[in-house]
Amino acid sequence: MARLAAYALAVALGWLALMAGGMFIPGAAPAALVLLPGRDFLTRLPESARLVDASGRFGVTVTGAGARQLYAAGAVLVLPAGLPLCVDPRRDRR
Amino acid sequence: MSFLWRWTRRLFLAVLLVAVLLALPVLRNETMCRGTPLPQDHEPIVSQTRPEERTFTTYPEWHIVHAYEDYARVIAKADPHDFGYVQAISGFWSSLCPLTALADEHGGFTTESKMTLYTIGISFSAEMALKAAYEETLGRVATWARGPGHSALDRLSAEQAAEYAAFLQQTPWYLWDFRSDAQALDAAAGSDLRDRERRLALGLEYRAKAAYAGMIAGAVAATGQDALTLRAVVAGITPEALAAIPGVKVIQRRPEGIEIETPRYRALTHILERIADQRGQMVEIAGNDDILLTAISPDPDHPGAVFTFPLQGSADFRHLITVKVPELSATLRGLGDSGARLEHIHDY
Repeated sequence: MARLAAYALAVALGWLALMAGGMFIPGAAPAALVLLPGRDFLTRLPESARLVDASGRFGVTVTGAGARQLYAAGAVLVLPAGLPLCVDPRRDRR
Repeated sequence: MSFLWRWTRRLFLAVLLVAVLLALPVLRNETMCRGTPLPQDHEPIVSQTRPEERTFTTYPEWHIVHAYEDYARVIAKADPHDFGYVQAISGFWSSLCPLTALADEHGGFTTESKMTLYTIGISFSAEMALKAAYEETLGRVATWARGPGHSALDRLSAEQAAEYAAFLQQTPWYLWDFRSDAQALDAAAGSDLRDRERRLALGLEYRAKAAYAGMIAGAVAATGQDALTLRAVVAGITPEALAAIPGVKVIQRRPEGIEIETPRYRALTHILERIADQRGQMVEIAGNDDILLTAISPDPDHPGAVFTFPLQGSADFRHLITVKVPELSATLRGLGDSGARLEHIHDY
């Protein structure tokens, strides 16, 4: 049981590491999902950055700033967001 | 302290190993699956064009949709540990290889579309690896305790999987109401071990997905969406017949044919089928002359298929077929003769 939990944790953290690492590639995603931003995160963002969504409980979505700038502004984890999908995004929730 | 350090070090190494394993298919795709750009001989007729390479790069996302269909089919009759998780993962990356070469030949990838493919591929692989680890061990033990017949939550989770797979045909995954599914499990659970195990394991999975989906949905809604329609040129059919097809808007007559505007995504497949049935011939779609479609047949081979693989929970095979747009209608009409049926036409 402990081994299974450790394996699951390693897979989840490995996945997060790759997602976060990919954000350092320029043009990787149209937006960034910033998890657990600090209290003064928004005031420390560069001028080019734009806050596009702050409705989440654990994070905000930002465009116009690279991962390096977001971490410098106090982000704990930066993940890709707003990637284009191949199915119609208009449907409402079930 | 040394105990804590030892375990931290082990966890770090395990995370590193997992990250390398998850990244290996990306490395392979980048180094061994490249194509040489071909000279493009088609001059677009319409001015509203879309990148041709996207017909090839939209398939991998559909592969994930199809994997959920396979999963639903398998657990309707058997158990989750009977699903081939490794087969689903390898199918994704194996199909991506020829499609990457084709995309390179027809205009190449944008960084964003490549990152999208790798993001969904790595995420899908991680999810399948987690499910496999659980279902092959604790999940399997719970089925031994249950016996050969399905429990109430086995049946309910199979129904939920089938509904989810059908939902994904039309809608992004993050719009699914995972919390309702978790609540349905809570409400229907019996007192036997298998039901308690399903309620705990699937409840945890659904709630984790609900939390992540909530964050993704907000981000996607805020960053806007792609165009919902495209332009195409059709010959061999009257404007009146085209206008009678739901969703089709006739724009103008051109020397090459009739320019129409149609919805994209799933609706386009149905419209192109209707046009083929009425003997219409596509001249170009979104300014392009190559397109990818998938077809299902009981045969392991199909003419023109760039990739073929078996479905799970079924004796059929899925074929990825590339055709020239002017030959699309004839190809669609001929599918039935070869014992195949159209599944989806991948637009741009």
